Amino acid sequence: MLKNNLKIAWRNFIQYKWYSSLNVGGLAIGMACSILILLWVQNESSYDTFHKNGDQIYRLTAIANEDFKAAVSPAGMVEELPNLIPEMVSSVRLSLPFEALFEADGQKFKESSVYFADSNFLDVFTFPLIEGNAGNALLPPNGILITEEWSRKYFGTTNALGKSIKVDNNDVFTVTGVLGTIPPNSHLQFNIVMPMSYYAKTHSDLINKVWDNFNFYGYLQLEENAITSADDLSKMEEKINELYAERSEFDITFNLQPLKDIHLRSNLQIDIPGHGNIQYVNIFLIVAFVILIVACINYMNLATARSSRRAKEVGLRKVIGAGRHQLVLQFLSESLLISLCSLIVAIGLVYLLLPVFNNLAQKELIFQIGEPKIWITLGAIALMTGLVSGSYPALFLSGFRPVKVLKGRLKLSKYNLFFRNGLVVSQFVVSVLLLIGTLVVYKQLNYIKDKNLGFNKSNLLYLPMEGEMWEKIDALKTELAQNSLTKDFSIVSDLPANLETGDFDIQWDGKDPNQQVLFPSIRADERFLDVFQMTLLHGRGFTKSSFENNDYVVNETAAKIMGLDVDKAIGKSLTFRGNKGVIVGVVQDFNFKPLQYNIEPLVMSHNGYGAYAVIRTLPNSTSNTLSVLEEIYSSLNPAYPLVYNFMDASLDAQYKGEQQMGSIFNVFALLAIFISCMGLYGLSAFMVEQRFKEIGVRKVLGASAIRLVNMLSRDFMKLVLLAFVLATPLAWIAMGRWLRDFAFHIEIQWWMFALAMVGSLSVAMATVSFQAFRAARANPIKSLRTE
Amino acid sequence: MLLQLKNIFKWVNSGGQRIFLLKDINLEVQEGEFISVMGPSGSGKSTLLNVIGMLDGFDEGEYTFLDEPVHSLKEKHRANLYKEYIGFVFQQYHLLDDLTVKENLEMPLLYKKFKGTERRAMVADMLDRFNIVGKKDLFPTQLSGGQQQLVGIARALISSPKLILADEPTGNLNSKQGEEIMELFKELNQEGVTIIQVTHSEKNASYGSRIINLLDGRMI
Ligand SMILES: Nc1ncnc2c1ncn2[C@@H]1O[C@H](COP(=O)(O)OP(=O)(O)OP(=O)(O)O)[C@@H](O)[C@H]1O
Ligand SMILES: [Mg+2]
Repeated sequence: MLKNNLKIAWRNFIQYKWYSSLNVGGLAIGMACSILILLWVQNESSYDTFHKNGDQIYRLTAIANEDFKAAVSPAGMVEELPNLIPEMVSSVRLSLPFEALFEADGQKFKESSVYFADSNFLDVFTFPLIEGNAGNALLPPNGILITEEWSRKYFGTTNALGKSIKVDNNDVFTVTGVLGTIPPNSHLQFNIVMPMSYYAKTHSDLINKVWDNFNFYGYLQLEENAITSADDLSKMEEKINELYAERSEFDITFNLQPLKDIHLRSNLQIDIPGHGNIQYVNIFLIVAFVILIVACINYMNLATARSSRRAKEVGLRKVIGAGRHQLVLQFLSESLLISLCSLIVAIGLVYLLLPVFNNLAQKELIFQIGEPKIWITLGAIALMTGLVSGSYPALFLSGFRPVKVLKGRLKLSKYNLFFRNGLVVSQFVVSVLLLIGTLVVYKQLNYIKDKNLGFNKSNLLYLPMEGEMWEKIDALKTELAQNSLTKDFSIVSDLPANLETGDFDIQWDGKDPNQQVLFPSIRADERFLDVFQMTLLHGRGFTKSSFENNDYVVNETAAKIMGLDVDKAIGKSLTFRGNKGVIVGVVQDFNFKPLQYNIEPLVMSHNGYGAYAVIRTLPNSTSNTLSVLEEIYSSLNPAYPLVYNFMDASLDAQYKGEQQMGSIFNVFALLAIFISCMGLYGLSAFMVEQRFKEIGVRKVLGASAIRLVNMLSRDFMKLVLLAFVLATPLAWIAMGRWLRDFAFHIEIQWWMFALAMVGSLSVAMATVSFQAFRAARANPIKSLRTE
Repeated sequence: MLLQLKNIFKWVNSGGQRIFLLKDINLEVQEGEFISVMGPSGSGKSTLLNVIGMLDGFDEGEYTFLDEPVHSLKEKHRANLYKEYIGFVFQQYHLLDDLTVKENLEMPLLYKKFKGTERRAMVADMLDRFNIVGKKDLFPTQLSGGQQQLVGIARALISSPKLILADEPTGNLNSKQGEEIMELFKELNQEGVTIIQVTHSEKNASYGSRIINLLDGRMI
């Protein structure tokens, strides 16, 4: 029976090529989308699963208040916790990632994402060494670990043990280990690791084992089975918090973040960049599922539309003895065959599109069809698709009463028509939803790009201070001031991009002693406000003597938190980090963190030295300015290549995740609409076919083509409109939720809905009227004769 | 006795009015009979045949088929009864256009779960008997009307039903083809198959052993 069913299914498949290709096309596109998304989701959820002790490793994170949760913790605390809590096996600290200049075999390389790590780094984490001894590679203060790739880059071989690398033109390190390539699904991405013992020579946090400065990432390895439930975890956190309360006056709560949650479930500040977002993973999972359903709906629609043609067959089969279940099986084997064919096409599509998708998603996904897990998933997709899409036609068609069909008196019942219309509506609900989503994401990303941050971010470029530059800042200032292209510059400690500073040590008159507010801070020179073109609301900026006088400039928010009116803040005394001074100016609020975050109180103090020189270039003179800088730089700091960045580009780069999400979203929205239109195209074709005679008669009676097109498309347009009405509130809620993640966001506006409506209506209209026109233009005599 | 209809009524409701399609039909059919149903167009002949063939229901009365009360049987049971004992032949042939002659013949056997070897033997038998071996791999559209009807009858006969119901089997054929079909029916009847046919032609009716006349859904 099955063989027979398949034979018939195959013959049907071949005979109705056009119908089959619509079906296979829709399903294949839907499946390919789902496979791609699932690959992405699988990759996103696989982060840090390769560590042997992965389940026992937690990161210590600090919560100052609702608005400030940070991934960092104090050096001394992380070091001492395993001695204080017996269930803790060990702890590893990592420094914040930094940039440095490396010199090997006479060549110089500027590298970023370099870490200092404790000597047991390789015990706790599973990063295998291909050369060297994991136990002591990071023990000597002059040891250094590099990956095999970097070993090849530096020395042309992976056999680099014992070779020397000079760092920042200063100390020489010896390679004590060569690491295998770091898996792309590790939240820690690095090519060079240096020993913490070297850092400990100079870093005061490490020397003093402090508990109240937050400058390190702390990872704790617990005993196996120490934590088996959420309850255990909160007990452990409680213990840590009690210990902390004994040692420090700060009111900070600590959390233990499971290693495997870091990539997707971390929304912390001062975190290692490049992590994902569980929300996006969920959204995309839903999108994958929905696109597959849309494709299944296509199949159902086309099948029921064709039902009048197949009804006769069903009737006949019943007359010659087919039971209902036998017919159901027949239709299911047909849909399974179609879905199998679609799967094959989809696999081809995935191979074809994977490079494009990888580019879009910034991933290195691979599609290994040989893996049993992949096979099972693909099989499950095909089976699910086949069963879902085949179920309705199977049940619907097999239910026909034979006499009725054979007499040719088949009319679709109200219920069936309702169901089919329901399918079309739900397809378009999805399309409209995705369309509105695309619009909102697009507008929000544009808003982010164009938002007035409170300073002018264009034509700003900045150089980080490196090597000898620190000692030569005065010379640099003199040189910069002498050239008209570079004279508009400022030296600052931090850029107003993703400020990572924050201090509780601040006092003002009338401050509630229990109030604990975190104040980010920037140290800047007297030109800061001018170069950034910020707006001073009251008072003045810094002057040459501001450093000695401990002058402070605060932002509006800070003034508000101190309970001061903006104009009354000037002259009030302020003590920051123990330095008592006065507020000399209040600057209009500007964004110094990504737009997800609200503007926090900011205190600025004067300093002529800082980590960055920021230069405002004249319009259209960027290249000239750069050659001037090159000259200045090479004369002052010959050992280092000039490194510069544009402020606006760096700011934009902070939203890479959102932009990626946006472009992936775009593509899938387009595909969903495309699939829906394929279905609509098929449906309208069948409708036209069914009404071919009617159209002929009407034409003979003198109806114009436009009138006929109108008659044929009206019903579909109503459905699309209904879909729009249903999708609107859903889109409103969903996109509202997404926007809420940004402290600064656009409002959803009516025109976005209008545009989505016009868009979906016109695409649907074009699809339907294509068929309608064809029918309306056909020779009426021909259509009448075929009956 | 093969089947018995007792006080069968069938109606449809249209515009608040009850339109009777069958009125008080009483009929007994013995095994081995060859009955012709006649009457003007619209008198309910096809309706009656469909009721007897269990393709259509009725609203009142009792229908006994081989001692089974059809009116109170479950759908599934009725379908089995039908599958086992009844074969249908239509005026419009109603072959499955997507299947070859051979496959059309094989289809009922598949539904009855015959084994592959049995099926092949039975199909070969039928092809032989109806002299259409040469056509076995053609599709219905490649056959003449008479040939199609032969296949239709062969299909109805292949699972050896006790009763053949034929609704104007020769309606679309020329008189020579029609005669051949009628001869075939007569032969089958002599082999013991019960036949009920609807026909407009006195000549065809004369092949049968009994004639039932219908007028406005009533037997006269
Ligand atoms: N579902 C129905 N609803 C309304 N009227 C029906 C229905 N089915 C059959 N009829 C009517 O019942 C009557 C009998 O129909 P039937 O097909 O049995 O006639 P017939 O004797 O076979 O005619 P012909 O010789 O033309 O084939 C006709 O008048 C037909 O219009
Ligand atoms: Mg009739």
